[in-house]
Amino acid sequence: MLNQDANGRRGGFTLIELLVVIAIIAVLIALLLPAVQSAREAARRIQCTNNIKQLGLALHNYHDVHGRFAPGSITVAITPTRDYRQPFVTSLLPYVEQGNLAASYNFNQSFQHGTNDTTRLARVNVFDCPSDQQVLFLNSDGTNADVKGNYGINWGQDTYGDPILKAPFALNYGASLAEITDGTSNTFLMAEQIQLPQPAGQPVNVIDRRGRIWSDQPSSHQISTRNGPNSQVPDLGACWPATDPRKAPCVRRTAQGPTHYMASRGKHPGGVNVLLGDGSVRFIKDSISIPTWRALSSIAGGEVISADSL
Amino acid sequence: MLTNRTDRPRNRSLVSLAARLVPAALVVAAVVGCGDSSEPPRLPVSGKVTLDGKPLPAGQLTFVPLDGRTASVAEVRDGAFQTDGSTGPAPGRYQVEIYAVESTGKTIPSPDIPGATIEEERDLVPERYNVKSELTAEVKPDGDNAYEFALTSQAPAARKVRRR
Repeated sequence: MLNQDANGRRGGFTLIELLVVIAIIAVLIALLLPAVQSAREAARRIQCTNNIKQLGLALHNYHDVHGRFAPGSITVAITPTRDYRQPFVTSLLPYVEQGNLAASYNFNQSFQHGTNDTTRLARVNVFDCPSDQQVLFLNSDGTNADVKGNYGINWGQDTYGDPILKAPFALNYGASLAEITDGTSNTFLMAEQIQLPQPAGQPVNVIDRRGRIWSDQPSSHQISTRNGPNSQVPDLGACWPATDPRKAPCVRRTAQGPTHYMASRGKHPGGVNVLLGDGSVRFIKDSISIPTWRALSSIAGGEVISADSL
Repeated sequence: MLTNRTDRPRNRSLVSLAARLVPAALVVAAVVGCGDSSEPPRLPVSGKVTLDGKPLPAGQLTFVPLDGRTASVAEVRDGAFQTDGSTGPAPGRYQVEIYAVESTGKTIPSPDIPGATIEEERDLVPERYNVKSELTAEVKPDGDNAYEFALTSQAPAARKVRRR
């Protein structure tokens, strides 16, 4: 026979030895696979960072042209029953190389008008974070109404109606660089949010507004620093508690818009990407202290932010 | 084929098996040991909520951490709430926010979907118990952590209510 030693035993591996080797290989794969997966997430996070950086460049180009940052939303009451509404995202379109999309948008009508349906359904990569899912907001008949997005704007320290200290964005208001006396590197402009799907098993008029960039309504893309990034404290607004109680907790209310608030949330482990006023992007940890986080959201609060507290 | 094996080699292979398995087990333990142990332990809490002396029919009660990061939401049903040990707050100080709305019975146009309607709601509980809450609670590591919140819809006349 082959490979026999002096005692007549066959040289080779026993079954047990083979099993042990297989077990060791399995352990090594189990060790390696999460590393590969987190490398993928790292790549997605870098893409996500780049997107928000592009939005920062767009905001600064907008500032060069108009002398101010783009207004948070535009809402003008024309008559008691009719108003004009224009979301934040429309102002940015020409500055993210979407001039054609901006040209297809009818600025004489509110964003919900039928002439703007096609514009609202166009996905623009720069508004989406690859770590998150892409969600469409639905019409009352269940057809697609508009695309959601992953980047919200800094709306102050508390609620939609009461930012406490002035933020870079508000209704019909975008700050100018001169007004950001805290310093542009100590004030953030935009931060991440997640796109929440239509509440499962609910009528279509029961909505989750979070992540809706094509809207002027509270708790859609207006980020408050009342609670920290990825906070376990629920958002308050037109959201749905059962969708993701761990990652996107919610206390639902449809009315009383001024009381709504929404925290910055993202799908990256440990924190969110935040665009500062100078155009830089920082990864802000979930564990940032709330006073620091709130100091970052005011444009002229006079707070001292130590660099090691970010 | 497994033939004419004496006890001695078998023992030796068992020893070598153990010698190989022990490092593997250590590696597994090291990996599993680094799991989500960062969260402080959560505790079950319970309590009662009354509005003007009557049990609050339905609402949400939120424990907002004043120190730490662990928050908790509890559903209020017929004036009572409770959480189990997996969803409750961790020991520490909390601001308590109680949200409750009721339908006014009217329907209004949806601000989100043209043509759709939603029910109009109004707040049952005043702002000083939720958005600008003055309620606090301390969750103790030992103790039954039962709370009673007696809310009034009218502000106390004696002092001006303002959180900040």
